[in-house]
Amino acid sequence: MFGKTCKALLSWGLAFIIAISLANLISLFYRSGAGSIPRTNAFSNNIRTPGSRIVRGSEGYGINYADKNGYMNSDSLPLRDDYILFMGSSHLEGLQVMQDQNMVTLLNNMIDTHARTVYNMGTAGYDLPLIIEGFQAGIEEFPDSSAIVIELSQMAYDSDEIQQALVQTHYDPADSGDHLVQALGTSRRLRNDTLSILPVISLLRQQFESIYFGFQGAFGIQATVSDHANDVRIYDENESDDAFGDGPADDAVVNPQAFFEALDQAFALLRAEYHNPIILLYHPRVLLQTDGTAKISRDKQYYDDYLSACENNDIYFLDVGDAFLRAYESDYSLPYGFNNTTMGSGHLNQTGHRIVAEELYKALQQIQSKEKQ
Amino acid sequence: MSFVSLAFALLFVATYFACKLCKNKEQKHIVLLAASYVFYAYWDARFLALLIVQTYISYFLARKIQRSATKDQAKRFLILGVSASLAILGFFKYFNFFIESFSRLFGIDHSGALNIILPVGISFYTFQALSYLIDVYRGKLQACDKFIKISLYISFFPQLVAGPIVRASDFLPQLDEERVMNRTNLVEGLQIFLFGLIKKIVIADRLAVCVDAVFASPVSYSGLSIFFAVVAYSIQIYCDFSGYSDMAIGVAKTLGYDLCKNFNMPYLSKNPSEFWKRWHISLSSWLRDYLYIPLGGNRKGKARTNINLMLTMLLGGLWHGANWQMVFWGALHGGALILHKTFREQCDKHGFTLKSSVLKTIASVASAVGMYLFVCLCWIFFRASSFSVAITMITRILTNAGGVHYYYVFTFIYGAIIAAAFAVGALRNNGNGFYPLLDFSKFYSKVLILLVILLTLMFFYAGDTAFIYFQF
Repeated sequence: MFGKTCKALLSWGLAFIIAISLANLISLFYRSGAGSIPRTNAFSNNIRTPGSRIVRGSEGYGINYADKNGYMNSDSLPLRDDYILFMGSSHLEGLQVMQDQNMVTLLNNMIDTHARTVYNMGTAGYDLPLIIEGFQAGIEEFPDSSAIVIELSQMAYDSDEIQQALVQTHYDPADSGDHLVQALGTSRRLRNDTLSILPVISLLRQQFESIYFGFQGAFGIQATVSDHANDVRIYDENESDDAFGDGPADDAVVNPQAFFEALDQAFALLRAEYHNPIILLYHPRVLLQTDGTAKISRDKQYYDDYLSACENNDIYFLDVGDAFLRAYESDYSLPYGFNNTTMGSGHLNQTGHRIVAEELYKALQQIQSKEKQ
Repeated sequence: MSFVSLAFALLFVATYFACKLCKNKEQKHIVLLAASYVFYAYWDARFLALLIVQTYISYFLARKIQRSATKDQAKRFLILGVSASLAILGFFKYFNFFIESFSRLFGIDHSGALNIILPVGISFYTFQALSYLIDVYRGKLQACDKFIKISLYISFFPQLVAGPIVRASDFLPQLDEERVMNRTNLVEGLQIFLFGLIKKIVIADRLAVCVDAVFASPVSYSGLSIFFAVVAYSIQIYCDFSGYSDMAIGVAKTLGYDLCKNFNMPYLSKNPSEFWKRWHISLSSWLRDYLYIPLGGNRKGKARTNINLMLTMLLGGLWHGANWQMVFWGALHGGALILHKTFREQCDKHGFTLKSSVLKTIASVASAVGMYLFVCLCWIFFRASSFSVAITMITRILTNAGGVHYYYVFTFIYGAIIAAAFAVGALRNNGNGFYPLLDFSKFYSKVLILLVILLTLMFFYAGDTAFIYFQF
């Protein structure tokens, strides 16, 4: 009896090892990549494991590589002395498209195919307040840039959040990718290596976290008490989209003057810290209308504040919304969304990255000729 | 409570072990009934009363029918029972629809009318109750002496809210037996449950992403994109509904009960008549036995047969939902059945048959493709939010209108998987579906089941998981 049980357990154990290996093999091509490394004294509070390969297939499909600094850049080309530094969020990081299709590589190819002229510091979750906070550290880590582009997908932020971001982080070379890898603790190194070799763990964990284990609504009690509406979700164009952040708390909207002052102050700080051109790249949402047209959804409430703050502080403001609309009107192409999620929502797709790169290239040429004058 | 929830997992485990502890079938029936009532009340405890009232009407009047001295008296009780059951269904499911239609017709403001919430599964359990009453009246079945037995038949939780619509003549005899709950039942039942779960949470729910987007704003998408979204919906509704049926069959099996097959690879059908023998079998056979045949079936001449067919399908459409689109959907299928019947009669009359086996094969494939496309056309009316949206979608498909190109990857992946599964069924099981049950004495079966579980966990869709047929 005991022997039979042991044999059965052994057999199931072996079967599990084979099954998980096969599942892991699939994960390598669907969702894989080493974990991130946390840090404190730098532009971002975490970087991707330097030199790692990241595959993402749940929204679009992209195979991307982190360079020695932990940012999503190809190490194959040498970095030119005068390069353009990009700061931004997951849109800029561009894990949803192949590395040679993201805005940074496309723009680089437009400028010079033999050297790296654009450097991508895109970090998931890094929206304007975090960029402002890490701005000084960013230019300290990459001091030779000839221009900075700040990618912006939403405009609405809490004025307090912007105020707090004025306290600048300074760069500590000990927090560079190289140093962090060398100084990585055993447990973190083990964790990152495990995640790199066994991506199925990370995928299963992510799926597990998305399961709802609650008992809300049981027996209709909640509905009876609160006369709660049903579970059907109705699309609301003001609803937040994960790729576009959560927006500010309601009280931030109450005081537009405070918001403008905070923004103006923040931009003045950026201008004081950096003397080359700064471009604020705004890519608004594109909403598909039920009549078949598309509408650019700009954050109107804040739009003029940004224009004024940019003008006050000699920052170029580039809005690619009209280019998005022209692309839709010419061949119905949308800058957001993918064929494995929904079109029109989520992160920038190949078309979006291409349009942004083209618009940026045009803008950079204009800025260059203006600077010469 | 949904099958896809922690609450259900807990209820199932508790019920399973409680049943195992039961010393006889009477105790097991009490446990199962309690579990069924918890399962149903979990949605909204208020509707449990309705279920019990419906059960009591069936119990009381079936006994009256059986004890009736004359056929006329029995008929009166039957009419009373059927009327009462249909009145409950009519009030909760169709009241809003009739008030709205009436108000529109006469231009009356109906904003002050009652807004009645549809109790989940009411169409399913009402039809089960009706079949019980009719079978007792027809003398096919003895009326239950014990209230608990009829209660369990109507409210047995695996099939309570979305079928299969079990016949009393199939289920009640199982309650008279000591049904075994052994390891074989458990292993097979859980495999069937997993099979249905994959159809639901991996395939159907994922496809809903594309379907919902395109049906919400079809004018934005190209004709080809809309066509593929309709294909996606055909897979979604099949996997959603047949997935639920599989889960119900699987859960019932673990507890020792057999439920009838509800789907048999419907998209292999070569004609409308075959489609309704493969799609929602428990409903179509119910409509045939309790509506089409009592109306006269095909016994009262050609014209009457066609009218009976159309009436049956119109009511079948209305059963699916209280709106005119569902009625129209039923009419499309009714019309197709009439056309097919007429075509067959003409072929027989003129002795037209294909002699070449090659031509027969080509005709079979063309028929299956044609039937699938027709079913897809009908699904547009079934799913679209209004007639105008449905017409817009069809127009845009036919004119290949320009718009956003949205070729949802999962439509092709899951379409290929379903097509491969149907091909296996067609080749290995003479055109019939089967559950690919594994024998765990073989090592590769262990690897396969663990791999399937892992892949399910990796690729299930974590968004909205409501079953489409709950709304019926």
